Amino acid sequence: MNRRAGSIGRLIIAVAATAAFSFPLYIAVVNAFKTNESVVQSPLALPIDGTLSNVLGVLTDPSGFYWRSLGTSLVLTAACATLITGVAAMLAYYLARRAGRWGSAVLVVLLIGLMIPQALILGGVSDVLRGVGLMGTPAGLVLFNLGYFLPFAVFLFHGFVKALPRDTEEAAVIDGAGPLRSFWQVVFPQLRPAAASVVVFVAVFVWNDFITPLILLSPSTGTTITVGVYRAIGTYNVDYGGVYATMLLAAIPMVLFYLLLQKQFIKGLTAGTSK
Amino acid sequence: MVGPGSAAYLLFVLLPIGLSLFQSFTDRRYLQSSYSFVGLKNYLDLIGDEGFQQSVVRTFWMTAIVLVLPMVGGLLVALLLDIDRPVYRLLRSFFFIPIVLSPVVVSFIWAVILTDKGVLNSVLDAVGLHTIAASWLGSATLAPISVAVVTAWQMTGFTATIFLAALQGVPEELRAASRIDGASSYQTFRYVVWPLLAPAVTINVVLVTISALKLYDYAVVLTNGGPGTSSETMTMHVVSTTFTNGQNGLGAAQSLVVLLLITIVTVVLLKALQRREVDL
Repeated sequence: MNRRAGSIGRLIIAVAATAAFSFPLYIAVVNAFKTNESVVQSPLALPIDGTLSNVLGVLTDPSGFYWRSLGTSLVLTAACATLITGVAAMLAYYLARRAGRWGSAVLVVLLIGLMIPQALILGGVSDVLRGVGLMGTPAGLVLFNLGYFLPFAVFLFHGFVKALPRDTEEAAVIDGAGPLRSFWQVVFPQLRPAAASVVVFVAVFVWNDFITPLILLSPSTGTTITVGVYRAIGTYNVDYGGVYATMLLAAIPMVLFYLLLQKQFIKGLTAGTSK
Repeated sequence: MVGPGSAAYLLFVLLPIGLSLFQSFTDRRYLQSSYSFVGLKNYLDLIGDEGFQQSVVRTFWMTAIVLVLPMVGGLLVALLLDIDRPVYRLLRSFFFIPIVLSPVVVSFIWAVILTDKGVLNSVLDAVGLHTIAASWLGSATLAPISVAVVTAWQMTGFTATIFLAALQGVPEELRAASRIDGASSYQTFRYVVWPLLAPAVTINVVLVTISALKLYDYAVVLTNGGPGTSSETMTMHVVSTTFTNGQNGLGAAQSLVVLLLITIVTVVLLKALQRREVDL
């Protein structure tokens, strides 16, 4: 009896704590569906006189900023996630299996790049991009992200490669597979858990990144959803309902991505936390 | 494929650091090709640069807030929700949602809550607590604290998730054995569970500290560093020196000093926490 009362008490505290923590998200969601007057008068109430005009306003904005920046973000995120995963997996494999003593030297050099904040090197990065004629272009942003996220992705793959048994690769070589084919058909499938973590991490970072596209992309060639939101809000700052509708629409793709890949998210995030 | 990967890293990470080092000894200005060497002048200028120094000191005490709240809050949440039942699994996912949101979105959500005629003040008014109502983003004292608290909110989702994963890795037999030996729940936590959480503590402290020291997005959206420069972080200061004022040489010197500070703090923390993991 006593135990049961204890567990109900715990559940009440847990629900209350979660509700308090999620309060800003509740505010954002309900007010996206209210008229501006009812946002100001009763921000906490449910949207009983609900309106879709805020959401539709963003979706049908004459500048088309939402759809254009959504497209840019999708393409950039997919390109970065694919490229970084492929390149880092091969580099990690090469360093672990083929490079010998060089491998550990290269790992040390990669270590330098592991904790540099983007903001601190973007001055130099824009000089380099201007030098190769890619400043202000999506290709320049993808190449920078490839270099920037490489250390993190290589370290994640490297640990996995070292733990793989060598016999399957050797069997593939004996069967006459070239190095590329034996990597993609024999080694890479075994690295899938690590690849999932890298894809999830890179996708979240690139999608949410603010300062890199703000500085490296020029407004004329289009921009990402995160920067697009930042620029759009300035134009209707006192329209709270509009602000929240923009937030909601900007957040939905990432939240869907998380709900689809919930297991990989948690696994990727918490790799190596238990003793 | 090995070549292009290394080339991108060389070109876009190592070369920019090299360029910054080179430019920090020059008076180069943005988009201008002619410059001259000024030796250590940019570094010496930083000694008398109050704006830069204040942004560094401010970032460090804001980091303390961003570190303490999510460590304590995240651990309490994890302990509370560490039960393997559907209801608790559902509650956990609410703490995870903020992690996938961009800091820009999170900051805009909070901006409407914290602004002068925003949700928080109107709620305080409605329940008769209008004396507490304040200019959360508009006063020089409160603005940096508000920025730190909003950052801490998003980080709490992260630390709670890491702590929960670590708690689930604690073998149930250990807790049962400790209970059978007559330990109170506090003693079981302190002497059995807490030592096993050491790697999670390390990861949380290091990742939250690095994120807080490079704090940028939240401050730009919530206050744009204001009022005045009262909530400007050191990263914002470097960006505005380099891109807004166009002083590439000075900005490069500032960015290298900040980079050095972040590296020292990270290495010292990592070493201390790893030694602690071994001792526990």
